[in-house]
Amino acid sequence: MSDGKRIVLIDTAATATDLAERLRMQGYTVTLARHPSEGARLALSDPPSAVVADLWMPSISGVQLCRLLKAEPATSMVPVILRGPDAPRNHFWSERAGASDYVAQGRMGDLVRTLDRVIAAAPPSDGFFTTFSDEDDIRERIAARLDAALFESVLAAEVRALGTCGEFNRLFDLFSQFAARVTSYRWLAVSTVQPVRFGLHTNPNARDRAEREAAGALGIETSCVSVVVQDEDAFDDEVGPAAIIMPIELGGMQLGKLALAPRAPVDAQTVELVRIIARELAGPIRMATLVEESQRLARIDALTGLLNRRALATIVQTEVARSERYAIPFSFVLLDVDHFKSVNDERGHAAGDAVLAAIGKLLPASSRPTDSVGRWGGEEFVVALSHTNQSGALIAAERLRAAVEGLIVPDGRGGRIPVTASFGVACLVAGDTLESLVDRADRAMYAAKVGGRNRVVVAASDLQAAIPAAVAGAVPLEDVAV
Amino acid sequence: MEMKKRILVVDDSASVRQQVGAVLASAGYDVVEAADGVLGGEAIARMPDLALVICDVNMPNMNGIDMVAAAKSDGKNAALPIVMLTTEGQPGLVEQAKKAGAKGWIVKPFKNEMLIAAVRKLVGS
Repeated sequence: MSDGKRIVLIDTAATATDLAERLRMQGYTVTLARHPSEGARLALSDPPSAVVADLWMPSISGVQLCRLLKAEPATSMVPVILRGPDAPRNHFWSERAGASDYVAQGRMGDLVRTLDRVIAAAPPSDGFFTTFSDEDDIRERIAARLDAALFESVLAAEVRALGTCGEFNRLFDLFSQFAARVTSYRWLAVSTVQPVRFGLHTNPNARDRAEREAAGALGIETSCVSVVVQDEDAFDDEVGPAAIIMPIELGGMQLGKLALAPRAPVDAQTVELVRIIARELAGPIRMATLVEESQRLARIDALTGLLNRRALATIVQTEVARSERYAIPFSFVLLDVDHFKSVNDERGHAAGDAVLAAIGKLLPASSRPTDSVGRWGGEEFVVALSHTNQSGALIAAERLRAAVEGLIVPDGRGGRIPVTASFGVACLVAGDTLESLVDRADRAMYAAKVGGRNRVVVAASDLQAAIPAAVAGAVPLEDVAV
Repeated sequence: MEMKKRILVVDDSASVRQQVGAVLASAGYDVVEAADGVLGGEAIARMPDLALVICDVNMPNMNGIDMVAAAKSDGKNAALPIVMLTTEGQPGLVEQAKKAGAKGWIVKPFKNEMLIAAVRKLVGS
């Protein structure tokens, strides 16, 4: 039936009638429009089987026309074929505009084959139509769609640019600054899963209420709040319309949710805006998670879960500088597992790893939260003691020595691997650097090895300074002397 | 002589009802009117012989899209074509009307011959 192949041909070229005639000879019912807005109006008011349009036309391009037809419910399922010069970028833009295909001008055979293919693949029309009386309306609609597309792409680009900001708290802060400029709200909140995070932007006068409402909207505990941005950019209206909640998804995976409590009145544009920014926020959130994870991995020794040497050196350097400036005592304990090589040689590397991992668990558990504990390398560990003088450091080191000695590491054959370590202690003196401190601790530790292992030794140069009397009581003298 | 086909015009503006009614009457149709979605729904229920309903979107009491949805939820009206006639035109709203079961959407202001052409296509002369 010929009505099953009804084509609206939109062609502004002089040869249009020839083309229309040739298509009729192929069995199509052809309505020829000599202007794009006329063609759009015809297609919308009586949706055909397919629309064929030129890519380049005066006033409205085929790409714009195609976008309009794809956005309108009456023609969204009608296949559109664009025609024009055969160049890869034309194929690209046609595809991006939602065209079913792009056919090079003058290829009649290609056009007919493509028409038959796309018409056969299209779902049957339900006959829904949209009638515009005036072709100016069509032009206005295309202009409005261009504005909407520009609006969306600008929003998208702004949100995507936040992908470079690195970690979640900073991302949320910048995101809330951006959001407050494009819409007004009582509060704005983002929650994520894996890891669980919850950012809230609120007016300082309304923080408690906003926190409660946002947690309720996102289905998360208020205790999960990881960052709260408080400023006057969020409004302190007592009440307002229900929160707009959008999922934040990336490749089918839900990363979290965005909730925004709008101010009245809520229009369709606000909902659309929240939808766009939630969609675009997925990339930056994923990026922030990856950056945070890689920063964490870069700081952590995989085997022991302790800080690695680089992270530890950074912390100790800062502590050294601070302690020197404010004349605060600071001590550095270096310990080396005794006879570690023979554990590895005689019991295998898995046993050696088990010893290191066990010490990795023991050291933080036996230290204060303000101490920095890390693996210095190989079987060497560091405990950096802030606000700790020589006597305190000796007490701490002796406690650690005893704890290591008491460590029970199963050898996997029903027995236990005996573990001890030798400790070198260096205390900060004027002019010290990380290197000089490490060097003295290393020498003291070596002295502990030479002295019989499983003991604590204070660096020699430190001993020349007066040792407080309390130390002698805390540590056997033969262990302290080199 | 064959009975004139009957068209219901639902609009809260009396002048629009009059204008649309006059155009349709001049084309040979019998026109009945209703002033909002609730009254329109009642008229549809009361008059099983309606050939077409032309309906505004923004109206008090019940809007046009809700009226379409309510009418279409009754199986008796499955074949009754309903067309929206409105100054609105956002694709989102048009989509809602389509989903609710409307047959078409005519954007105001309309040209008389286009309105008549659309009506003829749906119900015949």
